[in-house]
Amino acid sequence: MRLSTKVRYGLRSLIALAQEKGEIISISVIASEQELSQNYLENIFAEFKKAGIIESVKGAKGGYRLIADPNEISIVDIMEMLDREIHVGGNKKHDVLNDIINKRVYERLDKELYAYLKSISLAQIAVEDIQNISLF
Amino acid sequence: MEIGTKGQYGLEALVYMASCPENTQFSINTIATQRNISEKYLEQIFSLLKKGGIIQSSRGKYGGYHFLIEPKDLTVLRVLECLTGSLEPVRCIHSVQCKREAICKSKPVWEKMYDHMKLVLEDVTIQSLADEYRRQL
Repeated sequence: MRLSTKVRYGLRSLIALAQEKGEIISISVIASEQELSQNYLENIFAEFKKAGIIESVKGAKGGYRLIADPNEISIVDIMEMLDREIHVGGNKKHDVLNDIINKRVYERLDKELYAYLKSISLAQIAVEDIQNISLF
Repeated sequence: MEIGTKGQYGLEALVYMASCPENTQFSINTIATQRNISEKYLEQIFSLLKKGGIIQSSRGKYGGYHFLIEPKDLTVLRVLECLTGSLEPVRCIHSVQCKREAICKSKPVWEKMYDHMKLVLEDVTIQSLADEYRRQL
């Protein structure tokens, strides 16, 4: 079970933006610092822009900046902006046995992961040290 | 982000086995028929479960598949890890070494997510699912 590249790179690029604390940073700088493809970043940033959490600034010193409060952005929010949902799956056959497994295993896992990823903000990841945050 | 069908069908087959009366003899064919799973696919799944030390097969008059780990001690985590290889959400947790590890701020998040998944799946045993199934029959 793997997270999509889009979500992993999306989070990384937002961490980079959040660390600039609202200052403008160019996409090529993020791309080289984060070792990500600039094209790929442009696609991801278009979606973040559409979601209204970043804005692009034109001109010689142009680039992107975070305009939303990173305390208010959770990982679930980021996943949803990138059109990815937390869904570990489940058996498509519906009968008594599979309904029990779906409810006790897959749906529960979805719920718990959702709650966990909703509880972590971009600010916590980018600025604080998440190792020190107790989550359980 | 999905747990594959191997994990899903394997889990289904094991819960079914655990819900049957003790000393039931299981062949891949009977389970496949009962659960409407492809026999070929179930063969692959059972071969992984055997390799993983979860089930065992024996020959002879009373032959067939049976549990090597008691269903009450067999967690869903153990089963899914055996059948999916690894449940890690990102490969840098165990599978691959990443050169950015020291400066990476997102790895701890995915690592904790993985710990969380393991806690949830460790909490459910095959027996508890089978018991619930039997109660509803």
